Amino acid sequence: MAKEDTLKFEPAAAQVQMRKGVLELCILSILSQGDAYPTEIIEKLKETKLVVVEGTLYPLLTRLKNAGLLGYRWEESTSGPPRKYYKLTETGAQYLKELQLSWHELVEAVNKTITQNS
Amino acid sequence: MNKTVTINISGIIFHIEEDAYANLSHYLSAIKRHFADTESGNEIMSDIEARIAELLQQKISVSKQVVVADDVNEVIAVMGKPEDFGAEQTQNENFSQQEFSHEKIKRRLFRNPDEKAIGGVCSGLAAYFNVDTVWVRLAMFLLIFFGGLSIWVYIVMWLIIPEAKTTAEKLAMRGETANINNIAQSLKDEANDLKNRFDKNKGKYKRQFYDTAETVRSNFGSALNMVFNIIGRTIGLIFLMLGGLFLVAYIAFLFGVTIQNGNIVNDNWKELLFQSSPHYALALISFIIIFGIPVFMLIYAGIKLLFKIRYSNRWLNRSAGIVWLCGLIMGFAVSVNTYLQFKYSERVRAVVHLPNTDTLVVKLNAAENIVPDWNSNSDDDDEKLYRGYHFEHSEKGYAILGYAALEVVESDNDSTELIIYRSARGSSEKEANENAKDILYAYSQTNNALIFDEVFALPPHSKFKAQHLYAKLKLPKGKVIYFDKSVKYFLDDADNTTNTWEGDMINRRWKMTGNGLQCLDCDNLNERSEDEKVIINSRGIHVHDKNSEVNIDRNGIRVKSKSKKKSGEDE
Repeated sequence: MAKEDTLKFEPAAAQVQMRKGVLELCILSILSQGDAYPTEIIEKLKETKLVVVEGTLYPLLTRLKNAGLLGYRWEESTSGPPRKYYKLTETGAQYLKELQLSWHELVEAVNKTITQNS
Repeated sequence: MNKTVTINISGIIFHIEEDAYANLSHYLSAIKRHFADTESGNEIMSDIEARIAELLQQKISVSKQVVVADDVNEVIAVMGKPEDFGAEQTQNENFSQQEFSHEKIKRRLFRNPDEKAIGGVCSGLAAYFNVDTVWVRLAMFLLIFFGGLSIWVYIVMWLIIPEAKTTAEKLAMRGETANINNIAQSLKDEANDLKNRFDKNKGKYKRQFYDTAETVRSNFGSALNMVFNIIGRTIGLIFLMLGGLFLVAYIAFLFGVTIQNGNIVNDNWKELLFQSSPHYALALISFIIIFGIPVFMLIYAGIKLLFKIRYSNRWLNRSAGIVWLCGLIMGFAVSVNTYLQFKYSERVRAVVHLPNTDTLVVKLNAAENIVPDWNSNSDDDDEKLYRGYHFEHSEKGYAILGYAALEVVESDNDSTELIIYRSARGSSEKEANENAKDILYAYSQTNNALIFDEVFALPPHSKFKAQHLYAKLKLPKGKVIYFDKSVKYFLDDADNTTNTWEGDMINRRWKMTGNGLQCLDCDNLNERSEDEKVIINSRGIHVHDKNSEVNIDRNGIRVKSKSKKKSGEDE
């Protein structure tokens, strides 16, 4: 938090950034329930209103894949281009577990702070 | 009715209306540019294309087979603008200087539309190098006096450097912090921090090993990237420097051609060489294109590599290729045309019988006496040896002057004969013949002296047609000839018994014998020994045996054979 002076203090902007920050966690969580290709991931994320534009997802998926947290396989589709099915790797699963734990801690702490002070 | 374009996205074929196509391709190239600096940019790109193909497929049906502008707009709305994808995703998070890479986004070269005098090139460069725009502009202005160098460079840069259109691009232009990423970044930092603390507490060595391996891998990757980066930029710099060098030479040459050139007194010399002014203009234009475009493209490629500009102007590449081809065709046409003007060669012969005198003295009427304002350079021995053409300017117009040459041979009868050969080229035999006849040449005979003009001339406004003038003096056996020192360079070929160089035959009397001229007063002339087969000295190279000799000197290469009198000259 070294650049506080340059931050934009607007609720809308903050919301967008918060969503982006937790996107990684959400994608890993979705994939922990089974393999999926980007469109499916997007649909699930859309239900939770976490994704504003779909374009955000692709660089993130590639990055997670490059980090070894995700693997993928190609599957032919009857109605369109071949689909890239992403799958959580063992390291990914471990990483997710750790991330979930710290997330819960964070949420609890944040909630506590908010309710205490409002 | 609307025109449609067929496109292929991710292997699926779509028929798309033209305006929708333009919009879509602009959008895709914007995304491509956005991910250009990312390691897996191509992979992300193809994933996005696959999704776009899927979305577009939902828009078409049996009753609606064409993708229209609205469909594309909807797809773009769903996928989002590249700026919204978030630049923080493209950064390599394992980079050792984390704080630094988070703060700074990669600076790229753009034209600055907000601060422009002409095309925003200078202010863009200033932003890239972090200096005040004034200095860049001043440098550009000063370089104009360096052969207009900066004008060309400016035009090239204007064409290839993209303008900073979006806010993200403007930020990248100055390499400033992209503020919007900071919250996400700090959230992630927090998560990482927690994760690390977690790891430490649990003491999971496997995890740590993974981290180390990952760091090594990514550091190696970025080192490799850096090496490629440096190589690319070095090549770019070399290209740019080479291009600049060629450009200076090229501009200097153009100025030389069109303004002034040492020996050639006036630029009107082109009138003498070329059929007409348009002809000359065509030749000049084709020259400018054939050599100018490669120089231009070299600078273009150099700037692109040096500043890592990924965007490629296809329109520019193609039109440069087409223009270059046109220049080549034009140059070829001019060459063929010029060749046709020189296709036929004709020689006109004039024979004069000279009265028999005791000793024939051969002298030269120097060019200075023939042409009043003869170029003073002609005092130079070098030039007389070179024996090129002269283009002289007089009140009557521009005239061509050339050096005449003399050959002395044995006559087949008892009389002394002088044969003047005039030769020229032309587009037909008749024209070549007329051109040859036009050659103006004079010689005079007083008592026993034969005085030749050093140069022949052409009437004003004649064109250059490779005119030559050759005098052949036929002497009967027993006839004595004296060469005045003025003929030193005029005497081209005179076979003699001692194999003396023609230039050394001056100031001496020679008698015609059955084997050529024999020297009558050559006491101290060092005769060339027959044993010496090869002589190399400051004059050139001389090789001889009993029947033939080869001379390589300033006059070119000459091969002489005694059995069959033949002389060929190779420029």
